[in-house]
Amino acid sequence: MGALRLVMLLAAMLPGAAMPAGAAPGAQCKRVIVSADPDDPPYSWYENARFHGSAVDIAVLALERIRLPYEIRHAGTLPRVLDAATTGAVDLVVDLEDTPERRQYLAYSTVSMFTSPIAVFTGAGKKLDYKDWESLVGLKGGITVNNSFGAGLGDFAASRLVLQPADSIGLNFTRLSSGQIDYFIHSYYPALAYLVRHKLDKEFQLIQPFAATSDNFAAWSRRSPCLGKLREFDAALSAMARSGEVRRILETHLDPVRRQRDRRNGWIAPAGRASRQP
Amino acid sequence: MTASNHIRNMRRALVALAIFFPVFYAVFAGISIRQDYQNALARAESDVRNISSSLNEHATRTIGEVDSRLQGAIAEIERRGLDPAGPDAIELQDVLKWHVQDLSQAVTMFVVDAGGSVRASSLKYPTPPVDVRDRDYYRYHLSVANPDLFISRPVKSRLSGRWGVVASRRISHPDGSLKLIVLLGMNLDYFNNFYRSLKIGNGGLLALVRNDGWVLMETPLTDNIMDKNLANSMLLEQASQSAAGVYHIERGALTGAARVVGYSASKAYPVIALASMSREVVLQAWLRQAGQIALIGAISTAMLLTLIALLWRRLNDLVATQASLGRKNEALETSERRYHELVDGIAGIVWEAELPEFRLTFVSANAAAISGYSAEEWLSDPNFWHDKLSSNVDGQRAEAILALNSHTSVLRPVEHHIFAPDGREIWLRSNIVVAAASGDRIHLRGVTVDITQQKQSEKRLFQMAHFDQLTKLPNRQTLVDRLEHGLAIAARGNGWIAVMLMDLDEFKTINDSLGHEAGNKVLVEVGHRIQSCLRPSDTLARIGGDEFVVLVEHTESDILMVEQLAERIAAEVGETIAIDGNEFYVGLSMGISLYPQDGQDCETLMRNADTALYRAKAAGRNCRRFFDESMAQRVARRLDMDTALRRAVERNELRLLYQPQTALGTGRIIGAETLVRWVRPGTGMVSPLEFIPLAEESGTIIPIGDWILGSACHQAAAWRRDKQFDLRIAVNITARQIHHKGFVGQVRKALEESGLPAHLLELEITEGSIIDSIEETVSKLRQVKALGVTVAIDDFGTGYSSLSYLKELPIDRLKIDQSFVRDIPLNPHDCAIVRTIIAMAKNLGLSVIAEGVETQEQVDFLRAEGCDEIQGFLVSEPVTADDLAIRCADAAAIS
Repeated sequence: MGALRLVMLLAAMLPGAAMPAGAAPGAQCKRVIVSADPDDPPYSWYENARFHGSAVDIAVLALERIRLPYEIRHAGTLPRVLDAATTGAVDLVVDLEDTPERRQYLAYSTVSMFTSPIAVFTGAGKKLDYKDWESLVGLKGGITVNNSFGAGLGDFAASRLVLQPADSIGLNFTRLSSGQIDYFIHSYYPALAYLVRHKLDKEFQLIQPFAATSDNFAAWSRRSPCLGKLREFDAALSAMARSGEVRRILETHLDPVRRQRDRRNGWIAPAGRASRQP
Repeated sequence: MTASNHIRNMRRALVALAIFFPVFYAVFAGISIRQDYQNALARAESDVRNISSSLNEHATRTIGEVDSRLQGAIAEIERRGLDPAGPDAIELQDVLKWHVQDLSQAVTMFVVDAGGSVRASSLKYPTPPVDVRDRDYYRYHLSVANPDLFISRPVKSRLSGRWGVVASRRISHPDGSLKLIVLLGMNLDYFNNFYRSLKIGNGGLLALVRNDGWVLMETPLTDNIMDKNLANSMLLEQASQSAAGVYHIERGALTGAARVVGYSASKAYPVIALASMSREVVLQAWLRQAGQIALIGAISTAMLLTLIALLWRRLNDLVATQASLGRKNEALETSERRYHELVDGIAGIVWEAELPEFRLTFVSANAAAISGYSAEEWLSDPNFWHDKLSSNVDGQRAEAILALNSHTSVLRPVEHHIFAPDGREIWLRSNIVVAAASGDRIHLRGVTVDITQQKQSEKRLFQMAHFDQLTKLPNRQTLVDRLEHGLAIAARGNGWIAVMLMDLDEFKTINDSLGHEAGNKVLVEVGHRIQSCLRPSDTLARIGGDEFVVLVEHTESDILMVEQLAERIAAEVGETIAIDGNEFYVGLSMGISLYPQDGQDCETLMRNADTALYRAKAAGRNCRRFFDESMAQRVARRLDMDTALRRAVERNELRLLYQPQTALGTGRIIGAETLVRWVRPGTGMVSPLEFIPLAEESGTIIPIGDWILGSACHQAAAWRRDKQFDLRIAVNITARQIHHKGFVGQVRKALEESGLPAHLLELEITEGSIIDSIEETVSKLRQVKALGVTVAIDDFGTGYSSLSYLKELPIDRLKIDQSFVRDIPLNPHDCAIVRTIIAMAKNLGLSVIAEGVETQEQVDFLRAEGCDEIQGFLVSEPVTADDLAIRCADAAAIS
């Protein structure tokens, strides 16, 4: 191990080591491989042999603004995508929450793409008097693996709430409808999209107000040869955000969901916002 | 200019230097320090002006960006009609976040409603209920319907907990009332980092001040910044007059210390950038430099004064040294004079030299007077010591090295025996010491004194101690020394010594009658006369009064020689002596003792010689006596015989006999050996074995030999003439005859006078007569051989028989000694010898004759071995000439 460490130390001292940490030595950034969670609509999903979603579109637009060639590649489920990012097979992963574990192999943008509301769902007709996070204390909650809620609520949940993870949104809604859990916490729009798609939106109710917001980021593989483009990419994102382009792309993907929700006259939409257009 | 004037001038120069240098230095240092002071302040003013300008630019740019973001967010909020109180909270947060999240100087952007509550924040959702009604920005926007940017005093964020300055703009309802305030909290660390990067230095202060005097930012940043207000400071007064500038304050509002302040007011926003430096810090370098200049001045002045003091002291020392030097010079001159007086006064040559070559490097002037050679000659000749002083340089070099090694310095004195250029004999003695040594060079110093007089005195003393002052002859002591020395040598080599003690007869009478002076002259003359009789190796000593001693050393006993010497001395001394016109005779009595027979030591020999002298005195005047009378008698008889023998020829007492020599081959008498006989009246026939050695010893052999040779030749000639037969006549020749200078002439004369053909004369010589001087012998024999005479070696085999001389000698015949013949043929050794001699002679082409042949057996052996001739009683005993003539006639008749 000592010899290996020495070799690594020497390698780190070579000129190639001046590249961002984890970047493949000697490789040049010719094309950015972009990937995302294939099942997180409306932010990102894979359908008809291509990716869709606001996160993907925002990232692509930012890459285009900085004139970086890219390829959107389906790399499997989110865990596989993250695996590919650890090896550098994928350069840029979009539609990600920021967690300390992922920072081990991902370099996050300093600016978030957008803010995702975190919603608490419960069964239709269930009584859950929600004022703030304290209202959830003592109840059984469900969460989806790989879905996080930001530092504030995450810390509170870890210390005060009883949360049972499940592999998918659907499984959590199933558990919620079967009474195994009292509530289900998840990003609002993906959960809503699931309910609308499966026409289940009338069977569950959204607890108001949103429990929290979670920043949605694009993150670069630390082994990516394009890691050096991070700041440029961030600057493009900021400019896009301030100019309203991010908002426009986001709405492009949120609006269909909202419209489906509204056509079904579901009640899980946030009050006062259902009919307003961006 | 004299030395004292020089010193006085130098002292004045030193005083001037001591006064003017500090003054000049102080003046120039003051000017320089003042200049540096002004430069330091000017640099500080320039620095604070530039830095405040940079701060202003930075603040304007930073606030401008913030304001831009505020206006962007407000525009979007208004455009989208976002209401923070409703469900738009999340979208509002997005808007706030999007406008602030990439702004470094921003902490957060948030929205406050008209009631003073925070409704949305870029940081948190849901936004916690925060009341900001106490904040100056809320009060400002609540009271002033101005949409312009407002910059708050520093506040600690209730959302983030960080210090910041809040920039805000209001959103008004259509009626102008306050609807929302959009605020952006600026991070003071952002300013702080920038300010710290400017490196204004210790005591430097950078600040951003609002137009009303409130400090927004200062470096270093502290928590009590919110309470600082410069409304009453000079800053606002200055800023009201000029947008940028520099001023000095003796007591700063922020630090309380004297400062140099630069400021620059923003044209776009109500802020003034300020940079100030502590005057103490600004002037620190100047103070340090001024201190250094002062220190250098103090040190250099101190050093200069010290140097001047030292120089002053050196000058004093110099004056003292001059005085001392003068005294020393006088002392040196005195010393030099004394030295020269001493050296010149020394009765010797003082010198110095260097080894190894003994080259003289110094010689005192008295060298010429003492040695005859001038000092220049001593010095100029590199080999003077060796050549002129006859001294062993190598020995002195070795001795010097030994002296060095043994840590001594004095060498053994050296004596020189030289001859001055004028021929004077001079004795010198050098006393030498090793002065120093460096490497292989050794420095010597010495004194050479004249010891000629000492040597002469020593010589005189020696003469007085060992020689008689009157006659200059060795005295008794010297005689004893030489006698003892002679005895030691004689004892080792079987030598022989005669001590002849002599005493003048009637010397007292001479003294008494003619006086001591005449007596002394007689003694001197006698000494001379005795000395004239002696060999160089003999010793004559005067042992007192009229006593003389002659010491004769010889390798073998020769009593006759002593007797003859005594007689010769007596005869010489006995001659007339003429002193002061008087002639008289002096008799000499003599006592003789002989070593070893008369004594083994000096004392005995002298005593016995004295005894013998006493006897001689008793016997009368002019006598001599041997201590051993029997010896004296023998001597007397020999002398008597010698005297008689001298007269024998005159008195015709010698007779010649002839022993025939017969040829073995024919048996005929072919020759005869001449044999002499002395018929002494009253004694009868004397054997030649007795008188011939005596004659040889005394030299009488010369006339006797001459007579024999002549007589024999005449006899042979007579036989030839009268009897008509030629007989070879053989005559014995002794060594003394051969070595006699007239030998060849005698032979020639004998032949000529007799008319004998030379070939009928044969000379017989012994081996012993040849050995003494073979070259002379060979030469003379060749001369007689040239006359036609033959030569035979007599008694061959008894002497130093040597093949080498046989080869050299011009001989014709070998005569085998009768001692070898006597026992042949019975004695095989003698037979072998005889046989060998005969064979050798044949091989050399010589004929052989054997003598002493008495038997027929001997004849037979000799004939058998090839011997040519024989001689002996078998043929005939020696006979007279007549008898031989008869025998020859008989033999001729028989034949």
